[in-house]
Amino acid sequence: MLIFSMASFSAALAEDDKLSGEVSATGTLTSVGGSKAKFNEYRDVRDGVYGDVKLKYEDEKYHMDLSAQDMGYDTQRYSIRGGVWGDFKVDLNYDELPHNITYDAKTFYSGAGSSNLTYPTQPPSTNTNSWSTFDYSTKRKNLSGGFQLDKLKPFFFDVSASSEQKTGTYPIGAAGTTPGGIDIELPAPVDYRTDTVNMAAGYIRNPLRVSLGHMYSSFSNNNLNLNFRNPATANTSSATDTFTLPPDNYDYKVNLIGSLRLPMNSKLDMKVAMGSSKSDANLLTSYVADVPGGLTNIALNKSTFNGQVDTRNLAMSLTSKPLAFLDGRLFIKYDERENKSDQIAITDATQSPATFTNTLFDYRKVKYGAELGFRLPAKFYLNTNYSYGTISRLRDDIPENRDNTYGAELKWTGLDFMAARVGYERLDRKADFEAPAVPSIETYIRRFEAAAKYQDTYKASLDFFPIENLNFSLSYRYKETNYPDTILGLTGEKHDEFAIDADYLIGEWVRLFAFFDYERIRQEQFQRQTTTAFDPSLPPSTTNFNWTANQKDETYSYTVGTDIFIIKDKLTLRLQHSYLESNGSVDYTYLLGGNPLPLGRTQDNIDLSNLDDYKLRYYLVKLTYNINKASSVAVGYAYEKYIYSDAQYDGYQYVPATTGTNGAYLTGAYNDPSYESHIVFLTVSYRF
Amino acid sequence: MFAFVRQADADQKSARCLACHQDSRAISFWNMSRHKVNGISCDKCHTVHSGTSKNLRAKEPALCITCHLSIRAQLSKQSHHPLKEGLMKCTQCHAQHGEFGSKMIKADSVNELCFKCHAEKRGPFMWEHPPVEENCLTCHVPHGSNHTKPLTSRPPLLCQKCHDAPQHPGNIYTNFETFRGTAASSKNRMFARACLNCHSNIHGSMGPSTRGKHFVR
Repeated sequence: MLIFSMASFSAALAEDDKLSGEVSATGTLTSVGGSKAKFNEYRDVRDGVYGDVKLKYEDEKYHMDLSAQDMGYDTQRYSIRGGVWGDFKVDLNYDELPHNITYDAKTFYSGAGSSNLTYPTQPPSTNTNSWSTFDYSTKRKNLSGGFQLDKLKPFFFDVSASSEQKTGTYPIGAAGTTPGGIDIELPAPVDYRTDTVNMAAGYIRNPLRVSLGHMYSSFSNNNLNLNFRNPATANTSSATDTFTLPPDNYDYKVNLIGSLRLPMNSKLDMKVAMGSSKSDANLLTSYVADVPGGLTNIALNKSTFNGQVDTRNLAMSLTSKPLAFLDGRLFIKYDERENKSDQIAITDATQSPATFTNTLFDYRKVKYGAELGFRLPAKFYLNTNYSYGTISRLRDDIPENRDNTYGAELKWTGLDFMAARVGYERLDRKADFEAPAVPSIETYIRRFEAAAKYQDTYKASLDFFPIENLNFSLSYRYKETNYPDTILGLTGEKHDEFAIDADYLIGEWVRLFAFFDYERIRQEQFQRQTTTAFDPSLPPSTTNFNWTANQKDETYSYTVGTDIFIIKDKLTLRLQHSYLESNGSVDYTYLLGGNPLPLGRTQDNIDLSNLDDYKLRYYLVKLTYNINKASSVAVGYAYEKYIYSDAQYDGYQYVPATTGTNGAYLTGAYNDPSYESHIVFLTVSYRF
Repeated sequence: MFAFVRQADADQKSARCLACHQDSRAISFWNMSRHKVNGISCDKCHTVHSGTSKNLRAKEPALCITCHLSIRAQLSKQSHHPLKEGLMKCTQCHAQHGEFGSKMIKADSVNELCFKCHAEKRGPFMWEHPPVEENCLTCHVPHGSNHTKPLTSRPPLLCQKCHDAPQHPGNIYTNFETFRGTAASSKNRMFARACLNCHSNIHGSMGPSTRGKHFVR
């Protein structure tokens, strides 16, 4: 009905070609077995009718675009944009974004989704059939709008605002007691609101641009704590434990942007910005522990935490094309984070030392460099780059990194039907490391992002179109990273990527398309399990020894398909098949020397052969009939099957034990997301 | 209107468009764009008066992954931002016409970009996790990963890259520590979400004493 009524309405208006648009309705029938949450992770596909409307109006003075998608569903989106040419533009948008994690999760708590989780008697029931069910799922609802003033050109003014609400439930976990206790998985409430306003005003007319911008964003959380009865505290069966949730905060930033065109085809761009994020939280003065009385009291020098982090940024760039064969760029970027938050002195008699404070983390990043591009004979183009960067941290153990990065890329476009490209880049990272005064395990750890490293990246690509109707692309990239100073931690990483893309039109009747992607990531770690003998070079014993883990992630996917134009411009059949497979594994090795492995273990049966393994199969058959230039109808069937397997979820147990380090009360979060689906759809469209 | 030929110089092609559009604030940093450096002219993405939104040749992300093939692969992985579902666009995070920073992100830092949608991670927290504050990409892959969240690798190995200490952080967690192990060997530091089973507030905490310091409250 909507389509037919729109059709008659629009026909009248569309006579002068100022109004155009499309109205479509898609009816679906679905059948989903397995995890409906993973199937609909970011979508809302179910039995029903989906309506989409697009309207566009343009005349010499006004313009307007309106769109509505998935009306009434969890993924609904509405947008209207319009304005007067050369004077102003306005837009108003509303959209929803679901994130479904796990449906029918289970918990012995009542109040899932609220900020208070309780259960009647201690200990809680381990009979999961008696537990209540709930869904882990969140949803964002975002209302936004903007206004751009062009009337006063070359002066401009932009303002935009958005208000987003995010609600739902997500999984968190809490240690029952610490250290060495059980784990309790908890449904945490999400009830966030983020309001943001952006403004910018300035002047832009060649050769000058200058503008001043301001951003303000506030975040509020309706639940600052999650209160829950802790089943690990037998001595304190009535005590309520507390998990802190994200605090309210606000953030602002101002920036000044300037650009100036200079002689010799040059341009100078600059941006200066400063901002601040602030938060406040009332601090807890006790925590639940498994001790008689139930609570461990702590003393604080201040009962409220005032967080404040200031940022300062500077970026400058000079681009130039002084000669026909030469492109150049000089740049510098400076980013500073200054933490002005409170340092809270905490006195907790159960700790050693009894009094300690939170540490404030700061950093300063500076990067500058140059790029030079040369147009060479025979349609070669060589681009070279060099940059030097430092990161200085307010942190004793890893105070500074210094990066030298240099690279080159050669492109050849000597043939009409081919473009080829090869490139290489090298990163040399030097890192300062300050070992602790008293040797400990920290003496040997090098944290990978702050550790010295050498990284080589090689890449090559080819775009090939030898005949009018054939496009073929191929690309390969290999990145290898080594950490020469690392004793314990990540010691190396290798990353391969390979992709092919092809599209071929045979005559006027058949179009073939296909692509293939392959990716392999290998990571090597050297670690130490120890109690007191920290030095990895010490002879191994059964309690102090080194071990290694070699991870491998291999992913490949392909799509093959065809469009068969059975009746040209009238009847088209699409057949498509996609496949995606990922295989992950970890090869562990105990480095025990002559000492035996723990009972029952060998160097082979300890490995993980399925880590985030999955397969996704997809088939599509779709027949589209264009009734006339304005109307079309499409009918189709889609099949999707997702199979997931993971060593850390195999044999899933909600309550593997109620005490000890194998103890846990789980809820099923992320467990078994496999699904299989059948979708039949019919789409009717009308364009005008 | 224009008859671009394939081998024409990209700068010459773009110059035709910029002759009218150079005073547009949307493309005032085109000179810094990686697309310009890589010889991408306006007509690679835009047609002339096609009637589509922004006169684009295709919708996002289909348009972008025509060239960015490795990103296509990442967007298809099991954990990803919802671009292929059409609920996000590449241009929400990237300034396709040029920006000051690397990857042409629409912010002064990676974290500032992420906080636009994930404002709950902004803090400032009393107990901070330094790599979180320095760069979200230390642990996360923005376009997609085989690992939920989407992480660069799975805990506990991800965490053990930086944390190797007496008691549990440095211990070897293998097949025997999963649900499939024995009652004695199975460990809640390995099965299900591993370290995150307990250290959920890994992005920062306001929790009391060492409960907050270790991100378990």
